[in-house]
Amino acid sequence: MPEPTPKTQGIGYKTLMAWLFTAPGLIAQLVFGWLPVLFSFVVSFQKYYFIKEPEFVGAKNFQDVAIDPLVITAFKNTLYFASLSIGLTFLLPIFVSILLMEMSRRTIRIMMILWFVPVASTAGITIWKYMYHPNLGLMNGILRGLGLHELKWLDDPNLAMFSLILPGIILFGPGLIYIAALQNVPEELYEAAEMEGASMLRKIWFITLPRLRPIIAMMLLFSIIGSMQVFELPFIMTGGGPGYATTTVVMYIYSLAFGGYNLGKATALAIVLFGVIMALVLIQRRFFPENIDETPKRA
Amino acid sequence: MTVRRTIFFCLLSLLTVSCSRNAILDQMVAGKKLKPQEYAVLPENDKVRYKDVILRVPAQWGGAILPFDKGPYESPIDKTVHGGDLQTLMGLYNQSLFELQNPRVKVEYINFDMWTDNFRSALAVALSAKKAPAYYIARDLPLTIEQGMYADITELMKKWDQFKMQPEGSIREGTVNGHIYTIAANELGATVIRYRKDWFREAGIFNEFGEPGPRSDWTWDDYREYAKRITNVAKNRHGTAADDAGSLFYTESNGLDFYIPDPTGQHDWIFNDKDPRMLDALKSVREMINNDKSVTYSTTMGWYERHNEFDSGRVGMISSFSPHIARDSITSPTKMGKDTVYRDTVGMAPPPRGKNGYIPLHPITNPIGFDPTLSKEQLEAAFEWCKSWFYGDNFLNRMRSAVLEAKLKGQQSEVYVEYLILPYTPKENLLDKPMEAVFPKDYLSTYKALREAHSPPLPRQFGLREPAPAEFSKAVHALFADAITTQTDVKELLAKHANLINTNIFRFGGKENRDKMRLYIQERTDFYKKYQPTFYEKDWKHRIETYYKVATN
Repeated sequence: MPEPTPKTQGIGYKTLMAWLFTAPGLIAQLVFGWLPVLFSFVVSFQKYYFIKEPEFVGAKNFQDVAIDPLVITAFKNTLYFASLSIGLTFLLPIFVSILLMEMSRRTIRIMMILWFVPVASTAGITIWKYMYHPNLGLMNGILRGLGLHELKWLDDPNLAMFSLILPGIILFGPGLIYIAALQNVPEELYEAAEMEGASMLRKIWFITLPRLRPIIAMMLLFSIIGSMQVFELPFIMTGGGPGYATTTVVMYIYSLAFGGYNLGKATALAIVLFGVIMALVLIQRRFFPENIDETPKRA
Repeated sequence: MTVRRTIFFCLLSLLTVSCSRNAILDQMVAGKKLKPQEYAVLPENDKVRYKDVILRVPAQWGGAILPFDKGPYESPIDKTVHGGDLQTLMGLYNQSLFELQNPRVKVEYINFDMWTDNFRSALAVALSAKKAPAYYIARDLPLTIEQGMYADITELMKKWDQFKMQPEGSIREGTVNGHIYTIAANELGATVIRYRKDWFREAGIFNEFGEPGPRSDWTWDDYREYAKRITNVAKNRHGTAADDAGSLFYTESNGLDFYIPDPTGQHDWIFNDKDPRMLDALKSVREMINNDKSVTYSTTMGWYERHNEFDSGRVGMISSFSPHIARDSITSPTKMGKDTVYRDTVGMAPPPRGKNGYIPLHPITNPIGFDPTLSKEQLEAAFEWCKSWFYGDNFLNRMRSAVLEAKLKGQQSEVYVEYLILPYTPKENLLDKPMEAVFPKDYLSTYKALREAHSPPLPRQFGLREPAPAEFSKAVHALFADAITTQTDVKELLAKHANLINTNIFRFGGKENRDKMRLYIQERTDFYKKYQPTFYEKDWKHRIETYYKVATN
């Protein structure tokens, strides 16, 4: 009798193998992904204690979120951060990458190294806290050296949020992803356009940007989710201050949970944030399709 | 078949014998409390089985963990012995001694960080997973007690012969509705001023001993004036450093409460924005930063940053915890520069008083709470361990070893600091010279004042709920930060933040607590009458009539 092979066993064997190989991932996703999400819905209707039994409180936590003036402030700050972040660390690199592609191969390589080195080598956010130090920081040192006025980078409520974004421009490297994507755009398309007498702007508009669309759509999605959930930057650099100038929604959730020990309200706010992000993602998916040939839907 | 049956019966007999042997041993040891001498003669395997009370001791506070790497030695313990790591060896010695004194207990030293911001979340997770240390620092009181994060130790405390030596403030802090949840660690201290003696000398400011520094009865006005006088912006020297509210600004010196009883009786508390001195507090912070230029400020300034500013010679006065100053003078005598001696460069003064006679010197210690999920035996063992660690055999062994080690290394022994700050009476005096020979007059006089000071009653003692400390302190810091970093009218700022705090933090309590509230205010009134009569006459008795009215209907 011949040994059973995957071929002889047919679909049953394949299905079994497929489930076996995907099971660890599925279980991990279920336990560490979906279960906490489902559990958080339960907690949002409870007065939750770390040790004692929780108490059911109905919609009280959501009512508390609704009347809390800080929730509005935190959402405003988060949206402000998201707009600045998307504008500066998402859109800017697209244009820089496109312009870079117009340069010689050698220049592109050098620029990519220059772009990549800070991403790979900088210790992280903590170092920026010290770079912004009013007296001893590098940033004010540079300004002093140039004979300019020193800035209160993290201590000025009007400047603090921008100061949080700045490391993102340097440390977050979407530009590299765009350059990698741009290198895959067929040269023939540009050659054909040039033969038709297309200008640089028209080439960018009709060839480069549409070809980048899948990457831009994906990066935009990550950028929206990431910037709406921003926590570590303000947590480490400003602690949400000065005042509440850089308190973001996730920071406020953390503060409610581990500062106020109000896990119910914190979870209720997390669910509200989840709803807002879902709404933004749905809008993004509707108006910014990944498919190059698909036309964005009109509202 | 026969062979199989024989094997089966042999195994069955073995199983029966081993079970019955366990049963006999269980009767012999587990049900009976063995004395150390009885335990000592048990076979090793039985000793292991007998130890059924596991005590998880945090290495950072009471424990000692062997090095993870053996290095060039045969084993980590060899490394400890031959490397001269006496502290770790003493930790192991104390562990063994305690286990012999308490045969059922097995001490396990574990790593558990209690000093960073991650502590709260780490503790919550550890408690939920039943992996928390047996005891840990008690933070965010009394909220964490209400959350069930600390065990009730009222009975254990009352049986303790040193219970009465517990600092008053410490007992008040860890008592909720008549139940005690914390004990005091062995660092009695208070928030005091750490100042640069050399800067004060340059500015011509001398205390009652004729030494550079502020007088012990200095006021907040002096504080502001001195901050200005020791400031030298050209040399990047500032009088003081602020972390938003700081702890020594106007409010603290004048004994202003940030929250007062809700006069409408709808909730327990409201934010104290009605007292005009709250406005003065905000104005004065702004003036000190913008006009006097005597305060260095940054959003990122916290406890460590403030101390770094001081240690680096950029700030001349900061609020600090008194034991740290005394300890630095012994352990880091050249911290302020290799040509200077710490005790001659850094001074200690009580916090400045208010013009109203308020004395803001409140002796405290780090409060310690116990894991509420411990069994009765574990809790008793943990309590015994703490007693031994803080003032008993464990403490004395460590001190003797420290004295010897310091002698060998030609250093000043830490035993003087420990004895200076100890809230308890040690069983043995290990000092071979008077304190005056080790510490300067300003340290000793501040400690004398601190030991004579009393801490006022707290609402929690009367069963009243208090706001979450971290959340409330953040809200107050935000108010002060806005006053510092913006030019918005302070009145407007105060109203805005009061509304925010009242909406978010003080929506609890109400009518049902009015009697408790009256009791609490009466107790505070009695306290000030007795211990701070000037403040009572000048301020408190008017204050309660104006701002501390409890609704009657």
